[in-house]
Amino acid sequence: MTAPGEPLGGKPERFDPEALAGLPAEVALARLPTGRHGLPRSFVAHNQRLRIVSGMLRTLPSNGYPATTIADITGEAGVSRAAFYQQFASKEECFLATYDVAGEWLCERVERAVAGEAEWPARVRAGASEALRLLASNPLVAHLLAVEALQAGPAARERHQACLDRFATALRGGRSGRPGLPDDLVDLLLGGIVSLIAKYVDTGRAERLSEVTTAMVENLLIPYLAGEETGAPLSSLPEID
Amino acid sequence: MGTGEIGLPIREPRGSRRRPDMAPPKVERIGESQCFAAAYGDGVEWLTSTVEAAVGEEEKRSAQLSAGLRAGLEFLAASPPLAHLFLVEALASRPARLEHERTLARLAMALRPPSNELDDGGAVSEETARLLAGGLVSLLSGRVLAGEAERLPESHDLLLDYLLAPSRSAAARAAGERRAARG
Repeated sequence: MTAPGEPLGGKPERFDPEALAGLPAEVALARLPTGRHGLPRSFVAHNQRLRIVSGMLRTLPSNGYPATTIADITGEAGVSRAAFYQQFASKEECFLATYDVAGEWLCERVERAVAGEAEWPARVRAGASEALRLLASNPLVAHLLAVEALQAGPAARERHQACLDRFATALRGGRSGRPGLPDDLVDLLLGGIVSLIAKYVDTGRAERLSEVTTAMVENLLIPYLAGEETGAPLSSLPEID
Repeated sequence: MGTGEIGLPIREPRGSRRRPDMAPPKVERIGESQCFAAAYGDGVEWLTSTVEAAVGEEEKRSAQLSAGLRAGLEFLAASPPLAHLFLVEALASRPARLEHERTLARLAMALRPPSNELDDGGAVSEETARLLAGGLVSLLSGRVLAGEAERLPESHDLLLDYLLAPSRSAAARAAGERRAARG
């Protein structure tokens, strides 16, 4: 696990919903024994929920959200159809829960990496580096967040936007003292990043996402800092002929 | 194409009568993805030729970009169903996304002229051009989803500044380095 203050070049954390139960991995990852096992009902329900979430995550890359069936998910999770419906009313509800778990995991870790830096450009660099490093190490999460969220319906797109808004809030910190920059600039910058991540995921190169960190960080910083480098607002930089 | 349809319906014209010795009408049945690809491909070519015509009337690169952007935005604003096809439906499934990715790569290439054509040091990397293309399409997609396709041309100035920022920054940096080298 990436501890606070650990160098950004350290080994990134693996995302595992089942391990989020806060239990030792050998317990959390094991399928529950059948029949009478004496485990508390709440523990069983929580364990099953996280296994279903994990099953959804593993199923998506091969099927895509539109073609994924509940049978695909329960088969991957090793739970019954009845257990699925005890946890979720529909495939969409399951997808949204999966997005919430993975999105929160990513946002929380990026915010933790950013908190260690004082200056805004360094915070942007730290956040982008950490996000790409985590996504490169967890291609299933990259696939969920950058590809599937855009094709799983309006509610998923809202979740996706909420996740981006957390990053947007941090990026807007760069606007302090630069009132001329438009509100929509952040949407353009983050949209470009998600689109490039989706390209890497779709072409099976998610593991190489860290290689584009420099280009992404420059793309994020230039609109805010380009004017400062030259002492002029962005719109008055030299014409390109 | 009405997006979302599966194949083309095979229907006899209402009221028509076929003689027993006539063969049934030959109608090519195509799948949804083929139908999408055909509509998308034709639409992209139509949009591209519109943009290229506008670009061809300008000489300076920033003016070309501005003219091409304006032509593209006006094209999409005038054809909301096509805007929806390009910017929303194209993200909705894997085969469609592959078509969409080819278009994004083409757009990125157009945003990144070969460095040997530049004498101002304003070249941008392949990744940067792809980021710009993705950001542009992402913003437009959001506007179309919000039902604002007709208002896309209002984004021209914002998008032009965004697309030019990396080139302008690189050119400014190169100019500074040249000044420093001259002492």
